[in-house]
Amino acid sequence: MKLGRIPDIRRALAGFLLGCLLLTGAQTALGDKHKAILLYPELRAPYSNVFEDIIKGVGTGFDGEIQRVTVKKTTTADDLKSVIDRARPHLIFALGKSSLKSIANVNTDAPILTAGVTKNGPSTAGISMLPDPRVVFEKLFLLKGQVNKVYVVSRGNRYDEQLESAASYLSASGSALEFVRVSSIQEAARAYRNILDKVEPGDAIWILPSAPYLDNSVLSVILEHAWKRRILVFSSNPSHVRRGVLFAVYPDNQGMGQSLGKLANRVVAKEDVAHGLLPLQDVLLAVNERTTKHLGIDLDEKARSEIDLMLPAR
Amino acid sequence: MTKKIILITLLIISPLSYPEEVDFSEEEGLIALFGDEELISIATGIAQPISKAPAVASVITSEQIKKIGATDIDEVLETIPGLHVARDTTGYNPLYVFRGVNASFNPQVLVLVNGIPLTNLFQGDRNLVWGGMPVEAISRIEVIRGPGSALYGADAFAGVINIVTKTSSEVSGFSSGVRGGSFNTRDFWFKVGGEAGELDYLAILEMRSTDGQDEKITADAQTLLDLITVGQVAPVSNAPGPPSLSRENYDARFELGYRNVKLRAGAQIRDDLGVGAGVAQVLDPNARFSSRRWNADITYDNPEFAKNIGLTVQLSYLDVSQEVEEDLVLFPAGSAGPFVDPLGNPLLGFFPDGIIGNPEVLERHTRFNISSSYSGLDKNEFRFGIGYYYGDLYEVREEKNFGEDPSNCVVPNTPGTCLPIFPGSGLVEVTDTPFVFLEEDDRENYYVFLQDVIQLSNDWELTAGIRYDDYSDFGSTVNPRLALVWSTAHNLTTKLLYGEAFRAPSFVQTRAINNPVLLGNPNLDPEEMESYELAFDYQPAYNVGLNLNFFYYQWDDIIQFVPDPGGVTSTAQNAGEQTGYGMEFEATWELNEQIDFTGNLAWQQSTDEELDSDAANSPQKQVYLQANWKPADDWTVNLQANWVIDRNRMSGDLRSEVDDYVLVDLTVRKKELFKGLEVAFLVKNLFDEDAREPSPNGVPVPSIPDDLPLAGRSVLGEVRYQF
Repeated sequence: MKLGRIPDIRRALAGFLLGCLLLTGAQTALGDKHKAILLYPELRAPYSNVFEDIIKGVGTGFDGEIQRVTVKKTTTADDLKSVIDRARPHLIFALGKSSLKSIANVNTDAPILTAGVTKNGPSTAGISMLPDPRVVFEKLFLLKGQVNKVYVVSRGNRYDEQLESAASYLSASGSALEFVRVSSIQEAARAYRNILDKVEPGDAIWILPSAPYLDNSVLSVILEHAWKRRILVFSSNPSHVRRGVLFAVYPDNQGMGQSLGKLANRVVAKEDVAHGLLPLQDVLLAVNERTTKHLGIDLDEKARSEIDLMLPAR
Repeated sequence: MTKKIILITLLIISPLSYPEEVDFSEEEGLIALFGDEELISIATGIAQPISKAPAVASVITSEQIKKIGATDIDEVLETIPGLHVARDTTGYNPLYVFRGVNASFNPQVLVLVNGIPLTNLFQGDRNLVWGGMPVEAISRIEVIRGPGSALYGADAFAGVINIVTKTSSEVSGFSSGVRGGSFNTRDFWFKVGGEAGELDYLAILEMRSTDGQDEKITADAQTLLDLITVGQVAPVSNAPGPPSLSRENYDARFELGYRNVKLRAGAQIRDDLGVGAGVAQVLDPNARFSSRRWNADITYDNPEFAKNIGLTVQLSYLDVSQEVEEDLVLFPAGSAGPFVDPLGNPLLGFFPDGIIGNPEVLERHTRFNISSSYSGLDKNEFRFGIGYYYGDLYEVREEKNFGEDPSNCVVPNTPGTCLPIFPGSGLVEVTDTPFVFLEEDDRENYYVFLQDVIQLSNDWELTAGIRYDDYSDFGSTVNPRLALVWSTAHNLTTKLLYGEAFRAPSFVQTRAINNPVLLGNPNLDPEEMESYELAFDYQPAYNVGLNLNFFYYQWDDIIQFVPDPGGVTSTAQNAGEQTGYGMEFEATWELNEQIDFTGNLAWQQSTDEELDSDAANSPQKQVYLQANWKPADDWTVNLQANWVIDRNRMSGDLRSEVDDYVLVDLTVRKKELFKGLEVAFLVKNLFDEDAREPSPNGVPVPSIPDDLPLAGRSVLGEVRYQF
């Protein structure tokens, strides 16, 4: 290899890198009066990008200064305790279940806000990764103005509160929610059979996040029958969209982070904030264009502008 | 009855039990929310969703490229059904052979980087001094089989290969890697990408140096000449010897983005590049090419420019060179070259320094295009575009020690009236004289295209497109395409496709002069292609995907060098005709979360209609299988096998059919060995198979009779680090 040429390239790149560093360095915000520690799990890409996006959002929403702390597999409660004792934060963000689990073992006075989780302890406020059914239905009505009945299969009573709120929202919009609670695989199979038997064109089937007793092959059967009878199926899992579900909502990580940041502003201002997880309002919309056409749904300008991911892409 | 069937189906296919409250890991929790790792990548902006064009198309993503351990695009392209990468003798340059369309220099394939053609004017290829293309900067490679001139214009003929480079969000941060192993191969790359406010930036630098493979070519054109001149001088051939495949590559790509505007620039530098099996099919271990390729483009892309209107405006520039670093010795020192009489007596004597010819070509390409989409009319989506191309082959340089001597002419400066350059005379500079091998010239092209995607009914869609091209040198051409797509069932899509295409004659075919044997013809018409395809995309189960297509094509006005009546020269003519039909089948099967399989099968039967014989040198069958296994967290083991079957010889070539071969590659990868550190172990041609690509036929016998050997077993180690 002729080495004579490399130093030039190195110099050029070193200059470029320096420029990049200066640009990013100039952005670093100086300290504000409120200080927060942000715990997030150590993950590999692309999983780490989910948390990076949330953190980016928190940065834009929270008015204070944030100190990032990676929670590794080896991180102990003592490690966290010493970080917290040194920083004396006004607030702790615990992103992801491992952060939440780790901080639970640390005795601290600072309030804890969480995100990037689907459930939490009773005393922690935060934002869930599970979308608010109302937001899901807003997207449903955006794509299909009128829906008669929405069928859903639910496990146990995990989503009861949300389903009740969903039912009242739907009835206010002239639709009805019919949900079946199941507790076994057999019951789920029967429930889907009954739904496929009863469902009419103009109705919809809603597949809940982490849907109970629904594996991919069951979904294939639902999609096959739905296609034949032009039944609308929607979900909270974008990979289902790739398989033919009309649409799915999924977390807008940066938007959620920003909402969490704003929530944190209220917490440090000692405003009353409800305990428990708030259902996710910041969502993105994935739509299967092939299915819209099959169902005869015309995507108007407004609908198109709200679609974040069209699958398959054009 | 239906009720029962549904219930039974649901019960049979459902797993027997579910854990009630599973303690998901962080990653599993995210998978449950987003579906799979690919969708997490898409949702976080580090990957783009794959588009489904109304065509027979394949997309290979950067993740898949890494999975198979590919270090060059050729290794990726070989996995595409119906596409085989054969080798030219010069530089072992790749010949991307789609569906039996195989010709010298491979100008029937359009290779694009971010939609911008790499095509050179000289030979219609991607540059005689190619030297491969590394993959670290690549986000995905989109391959369309069949013609696409209605959208892409010239040379989207047998197939289109579009290489899409990574964006700043895909690189995000700073990463670097090294790779090294067999043939003294050393790779190094680093990438940096990120954003500062609304500005995003990206820089990727890749370097490779290698000595190239060492499998030997047993005999070359000089071996035959040594036989002819036996007894007069000692044999001088360098055969048996390996093809000369050393090279140093430097590839740099920069990108700056601000809102809808993207500014890209790049350089591909090739130095110390060996000549492969030789320009004249004579082994030459010392000759070296070099090449400089600079590119820049500024692109404005706004899918929501105005209500129902999308707009893309692009200005691009590409500057390329073919240069000679060390003399190209066409025939080695002591050879008489091809200048011998039928009894083997040298006509001019023996050349003490060998026969040397150093051709250099420099080109510039400027393109400007505007395209717009309009979706304001119910059930229609229009796409309209206009564009301009200016290509300038602005400098041709040559020095040589054979042919006519410009200083010794009966009529000054007039080829055909001069004495030859005699052996031992030294190199004669013929640049900017009428004795040079190629005329400097330029080419302009204006075009306009219109496409409409018409929703005929809920499940039927027709794409109709037409493009008009006007060329300054060979006139105008109109190319339509039609694609009827039927969403047959929830898991089945059927496509019926028709397309036409043209291939612009290259300058070597229209403007070659002073070649003792081959002459250009300025009156050539473009080559033409017409094709019909029927394709099925079927998903019989959630984890199984199948694609099947059938095709027929007719390739007309094939440009060939046809012997001139009564002379020793041949002139380029629109003389050939070829037809072909066949099928391609692809399958993917995710057995479970740890194991998945991919495979494809291609079969084609092409006929040279002029000779009424099977078309030569392309595999009639190809089988590809890939298994991917994740034995533990962050570990992947990938095994792939590529079986190349039934390659005919050209009519008149008396050699037996080219031997079939199976190449097996193994890649073992461990991510997160330490935080951010990834290592891989790559074995190419695991079983050290003797694999060969066909060498050209020749008169009286092929110059390289035993074909072009591919690399034997090679081993590479790789380390990459994300800072």
